[in-house]
Amino acid sequence: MKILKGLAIAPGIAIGNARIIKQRRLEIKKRDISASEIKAEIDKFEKVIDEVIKDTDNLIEEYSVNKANQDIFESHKMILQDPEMKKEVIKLIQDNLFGLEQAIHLHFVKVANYFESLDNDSFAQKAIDYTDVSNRILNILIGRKGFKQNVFKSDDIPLFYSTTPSQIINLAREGVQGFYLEKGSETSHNAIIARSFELTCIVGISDVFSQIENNDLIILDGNEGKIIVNPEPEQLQKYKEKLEKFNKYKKELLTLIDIKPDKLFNREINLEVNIEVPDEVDHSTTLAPDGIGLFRTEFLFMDRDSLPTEEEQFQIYKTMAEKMKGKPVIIRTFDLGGDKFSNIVAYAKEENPFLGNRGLRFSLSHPNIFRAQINAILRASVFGNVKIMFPMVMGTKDYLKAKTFVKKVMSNLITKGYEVDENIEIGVMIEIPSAAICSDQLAQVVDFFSIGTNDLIQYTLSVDRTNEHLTGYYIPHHPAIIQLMKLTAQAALKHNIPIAVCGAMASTPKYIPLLLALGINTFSIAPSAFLDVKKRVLEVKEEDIQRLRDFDFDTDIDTIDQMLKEVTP
Amino acid sequence: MIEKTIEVVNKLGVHARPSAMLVKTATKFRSEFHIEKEGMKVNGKSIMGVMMLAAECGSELNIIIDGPDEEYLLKEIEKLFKEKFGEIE
Repeated sequence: MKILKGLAIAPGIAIGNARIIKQRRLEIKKRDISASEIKAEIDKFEKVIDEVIKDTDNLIEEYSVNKANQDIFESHKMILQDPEMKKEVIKLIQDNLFGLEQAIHLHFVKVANYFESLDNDSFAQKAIDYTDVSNRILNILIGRKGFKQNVFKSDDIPLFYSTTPSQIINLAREGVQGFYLEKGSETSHNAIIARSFELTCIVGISDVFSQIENNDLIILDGNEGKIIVNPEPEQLQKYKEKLEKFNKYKKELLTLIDIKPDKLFNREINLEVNIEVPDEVDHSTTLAPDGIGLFRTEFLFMDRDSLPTEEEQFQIYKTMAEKMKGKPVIIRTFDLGGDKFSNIVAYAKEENPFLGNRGLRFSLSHPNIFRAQINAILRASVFGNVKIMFPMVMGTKDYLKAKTFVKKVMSNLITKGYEVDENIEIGVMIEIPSAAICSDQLAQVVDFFSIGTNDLIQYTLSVDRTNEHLTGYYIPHHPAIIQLMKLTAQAALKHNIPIAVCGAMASTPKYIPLLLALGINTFSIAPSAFLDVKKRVLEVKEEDIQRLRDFDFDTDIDTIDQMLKEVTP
Repeated sequence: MIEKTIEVVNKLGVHARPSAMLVKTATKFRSEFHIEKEGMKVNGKSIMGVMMLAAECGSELNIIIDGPDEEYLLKEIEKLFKEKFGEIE
């Protein structure tokens, strides 16, 4: 038994047989050739390059709707067509009498290592591209399985060097429970998809491919971020029981899908989903949500090298609106900056990016990017129930400035003959404390509120929740947070505008009674937590809510915590 | 043959995306295209070559173009640098 410590980017437990999919670099056997074989090796080289280019063209076509993947294969193609690459490989064959595989391997490793050594994300991505291209060529040359999708059994646990969102969705379809990924972070596209499809994912174990062999029995512990290789029988039994219990619970949850929650205090409860990437939608609609309460659009800038165009965005928003069949789709305009950057935008170095040019401020200072997005949203608005939401709004002034911008874009579209929903609702995220404090003013001008608890807590308590030294300081039920949410909810009620919570608090069952007591009845929930929250909503009793309503939250954290525990079984 | 010195003015420098733009443009022309930076000379039609320069903002590049359509290529290349490779600030 061996325990390898890594980092979990998608929780859960998976037990199965290791399947090593792509070693970072293939093992190439040394093969010397004689001078008379040089020509044959070079011919073979030309042929294999042509074959991979053809394959790449097919992939580019196949991914015509997925710009990020398409960019990757365009980049592969450029590498394959590089005249200097060809010269260098041929030189290695001619001068050193290396076999073709060895020549390709040596050349690509050299280039990838160099780009990696530059310590710059853009070049590091290129290093991955070089490794991928090299593997694709070598896979053909040494007769290994091609680059095309692998087929998995449900008890396989794939170990990838790198993967793509579409491959992860395929894993989920094939019933795979989890996988290991060499390169990945919690905020990556891959991690989002893994969490959304409830696959366990561990990353970042050093030298994993030399410590695990194909068909080793492995346990992925996505709660503690480790892999157990060839576990002892009692260890295995313990995990099997845990997994069984968890699966039973999940099965129970599925029975809740068709149940509509009772009204509480005569108010409808709406359970909506948060969507981070369009790939999640089909899976999420099986949960029968009342709408998309938060459609994040930053994915349009992720893992790619080109600006999202208006047309591309329009197609995505339109599809989303159509798929939700008249249920609300709240599109949040780009929340770039902070911790979300892109390869395309040159950010000025900011002392404190979270207090910098991010969210709506970024959009207002980049009117071309903002205009393309608003154009796309407005054009999509006639295909369903689409709403606009601005992130990082400070108060009425920035909101009104942005609203004027939208109205101007709208009248231009109408002049050009486009059909748009002229009464499209325009709401705001309540996540900067000033917006909560001035929520009474804001409620008089905006169409709806949605509380983003993550940033509201971070800004109110001055705590970076990703800072490991500050665990224990990030307290969602801090009386200051509750006060701000209460103030916001009262303003919404008074001016009769809808209010929702879309931050992590709405995805945490423990906080649901509290939010209900504050008068908030719409929750936008991460798909993976959707049924957990629904279960809590269905179980909550009116008298518990009444108790919380009568409770004086102007007290210390421990008393509040105690109270929340009392109403949560 | 024409030679010209061009300064990298986009903040992010000639990283992966600008390199791809340079190569894509250059391969449309028949002229030979080389870029030189601090004594290192690379083929401007090679993605590997251009990226290996890792030219940062503020660095000076010597552009060497030789062939029947050299003036047109130079114009396009200058345009890319001047327009900061479409980078947004």
